[in-house]
Amino acid sequence: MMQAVPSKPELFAIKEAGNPALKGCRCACGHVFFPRNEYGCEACGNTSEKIENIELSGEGEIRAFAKVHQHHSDELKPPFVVATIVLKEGCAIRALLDVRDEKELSVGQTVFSSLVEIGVDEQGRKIVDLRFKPQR
Amino acid sequence: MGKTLKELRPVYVVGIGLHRYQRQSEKTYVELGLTAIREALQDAKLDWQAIESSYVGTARLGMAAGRAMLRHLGATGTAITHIENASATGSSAFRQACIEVASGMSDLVLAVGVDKPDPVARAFTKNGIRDLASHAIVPFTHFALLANEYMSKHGVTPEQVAQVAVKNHRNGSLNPYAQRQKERTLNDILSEPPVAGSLTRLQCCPVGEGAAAAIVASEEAIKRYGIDPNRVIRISASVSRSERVYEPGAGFDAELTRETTAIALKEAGLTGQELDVVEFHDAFVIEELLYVEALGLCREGHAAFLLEEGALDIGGQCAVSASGGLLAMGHPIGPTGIGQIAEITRQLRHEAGPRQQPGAKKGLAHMVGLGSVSVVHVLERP
Ligand SMILES: [Zn+2]
Repeated sequence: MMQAVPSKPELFAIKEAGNPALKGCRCACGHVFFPRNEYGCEACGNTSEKIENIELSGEGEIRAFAKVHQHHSDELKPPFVVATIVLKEGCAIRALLDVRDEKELSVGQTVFSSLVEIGVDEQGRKIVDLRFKPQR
Repeated sequence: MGKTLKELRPVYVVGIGLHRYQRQSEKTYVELGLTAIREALQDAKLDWQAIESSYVGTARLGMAAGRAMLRHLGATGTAITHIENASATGSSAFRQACIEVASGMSDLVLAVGVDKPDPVARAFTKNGIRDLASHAIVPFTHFALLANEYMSKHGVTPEQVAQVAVKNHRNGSLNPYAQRQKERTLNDILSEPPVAGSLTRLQCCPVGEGAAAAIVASEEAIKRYGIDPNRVIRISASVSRSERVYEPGAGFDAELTRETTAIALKEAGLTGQELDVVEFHDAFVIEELLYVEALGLCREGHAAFLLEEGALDIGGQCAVSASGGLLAMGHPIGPTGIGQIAEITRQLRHEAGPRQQPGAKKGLAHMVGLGSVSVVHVLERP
């Protein structure tokens, strides 16, 4: 994975060791959110100088999941599995899962961020996207 | 502190009209809209010239749909205002019409919702913020996730959730304005190919075209135009809210609904138990169960059992989506919220024919819209 390039670099960072980090924010009011934005805090309205960029661990608990059978898009072909995940830091996100069979999933299960290769750029480097899966 | 609708002068629905909701056709939106408006005028026995102001709810037609339609009723020079509020577009157009009459600025106002399928990009997606999976989660997948969460939390089965579609298709089969007018068995519903999670096609609403109109009036206008006072329905609350920040992972649709319906019931001086008819934003089956609980008709996790007992059927404790709801009547977006007002008005007038909830006196209409927003009205037979 040393040569890999993130597909959406503003959303996640590849780590030397361990699973990828999610690029989130913590407001002075305590609200933790993802993805980052420079517009203002949804909880209190603070502007960006009161909002700190943080890295979220990429570990969370499945709140809900669903296998998608129909989806009209060239970017993403069904079937695929999506989930609502509450991250350790107390912020809910939605993500694609990297699982063969959704039957290996359950609500409450711990999942970790991971990378999957989705293509190669002009310089021959792997382009990777973020998924979650039950193993670290 | 501002005033609630009930603290202002009384407002009544005096006329309702619809163009059937249907799959996209060659008909123009103008024809759809005029059909609904003319039916509403005829229902109230009013001439177009009496209408003092119009709110036009559309979400997918683009800019300036109103006068190009309304001029064909005779250009009277009166105010036209366009309203867009996602799925709650029609509800918000109706709300503004109510406020205009309640404030005393007008005596007789039209709210009309009209839409045709058209892929106008949602401003919602133009905020410049990318996300991990927003491209993977369309509305039916969002609600498949909520269904999964609900079933696992409360030990409810996909069959129990799908019963919402059985009931609402049965109601829709009795509604000549419904897009889906065919009864469906549980087996019909479950045997279709899955869409996402446990949801199949008939557990998701059809989004087609149509129109709905409602005319609201003050007591002065009812007297002045000799409108039949036995057919007018009072609007006793109108509440509009938007999403706040809830507990991480909480279902925002249900939380927002809980807040908005609670405020509306309080303003009307009612409890959920007193409602005879309710029309929810049941675009996907799971929503009805979540909102029945959010409205306080039963405790959390119990709505599927209430449904099984028949309490939500026409003739039960509270008829939920007697029109067929979004699931069977359809969800053309702009018209939908006003279509709910038309159904509740018909029910409270006791003119709903085979769909009539016996002795209906109090009703509630609820929509949520992408964003999220929620708009709720309480209507009462005077
Ligand atoms: Zn804040």
